[in-house]
Amino acid sequence: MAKILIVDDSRTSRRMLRTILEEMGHEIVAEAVNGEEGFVKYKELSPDLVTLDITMPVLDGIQALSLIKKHDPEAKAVMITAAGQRDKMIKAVKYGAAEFITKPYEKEVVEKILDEVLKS
Amino acid sequence: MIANIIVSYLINKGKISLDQYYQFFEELSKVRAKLGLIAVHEGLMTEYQADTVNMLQATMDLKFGDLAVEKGFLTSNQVQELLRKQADPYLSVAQVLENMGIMRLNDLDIMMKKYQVENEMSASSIEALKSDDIDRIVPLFLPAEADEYVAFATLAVKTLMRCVDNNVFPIKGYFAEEVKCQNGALQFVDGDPCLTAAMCGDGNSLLAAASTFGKEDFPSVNMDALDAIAELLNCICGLYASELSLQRITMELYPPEYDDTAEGIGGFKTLVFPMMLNDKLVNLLICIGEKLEFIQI
Repeated sequence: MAKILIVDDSRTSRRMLRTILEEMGHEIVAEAVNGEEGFVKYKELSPDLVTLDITMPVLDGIQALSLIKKHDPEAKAVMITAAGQRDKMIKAVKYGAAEFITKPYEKEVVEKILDEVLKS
Repeated sequence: MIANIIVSYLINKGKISLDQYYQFFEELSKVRAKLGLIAVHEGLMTEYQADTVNMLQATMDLKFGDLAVEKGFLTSNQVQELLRKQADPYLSVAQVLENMGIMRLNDLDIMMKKYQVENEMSASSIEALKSDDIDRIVPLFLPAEADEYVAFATLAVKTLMRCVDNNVFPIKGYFAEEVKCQNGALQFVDGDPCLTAAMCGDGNSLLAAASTFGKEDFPSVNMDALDAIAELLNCICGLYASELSLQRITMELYPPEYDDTAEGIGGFKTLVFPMMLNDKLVNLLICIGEKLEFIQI
């Protein structure tokens, strides 16, 4: 079981992801609604993994990833994105994203990716 | 989609009741068009000949095709061709209407002619409609000068069918500078050209879509329900950006916005594409080249 922080501006998206992750047996230590709040909560809670939506107001997922990686180079971050954001995915890899999950969520895909990242 | 379009038209014309409407879809999932009906549709047999074979079938343990060949109504090759057409979506609709005693194929064909005239459609448009091919149907419901909107509109309809309501069907689209609505969500996608997409409605018209996509029973179209609609829009826009990326066109999605106090959405020339989604009237808005905004009271 891992401690996970979910960062996404969409309540629907957070709730859907939380349901899948809790069914997998993980603990959601907190949720954040933008990258800025996500970075604050990451520093405060030091989760095993953080999921970061790429498209968010205030501070987007890539900016938040950059801050998190500077704070904790070992941070495991999975980026959440709608399809079609190839350039942003490449940028996120540059900043150290471990993996990507494309919305809408497919439970089996989420499970597979999370398992792989947590084992790495 | 063809089933919904036809049956809704028949309801409007008083040809079927609301009870029959629901029964129709139950029956449609079970039915395959019978060979006799297809043969009449193809002009290979008369209704009288098909009825004769049907009656013979009731007393003999023989297939329709074999009996029709034996009676000299069809050749073996024609039977093979009819078997191939058994999954035809229009004929499946006709079969259910006939099974329910509502109308026979000839009557349905007459209704389709009326539909064609009322909607100013060409014969080839009606054939496209009967094909039940979404790529061919969606353009029929868009204005003539809406070519550049077709790809997004088609993708949106397909996504709505997959994620929300398989029975969604379009209503004739039009251009407007603004659309009045009580609630909705919109998303700006930057690129060359940029695009704004929105979904909006009145009262609780978006409720079923929000609940289905969000997998949550919302009591009304509140901000949480609109968040679900915004996520749905985000998926549609993402898929669109994904398709464009195959042509090396980069689009950047901005966070969706939603509002339940606005008076409408608009600002620039926008394609308004109304559709029946979960039996409710919902507007899909597409504006190419500009950013739309919520219009505040």
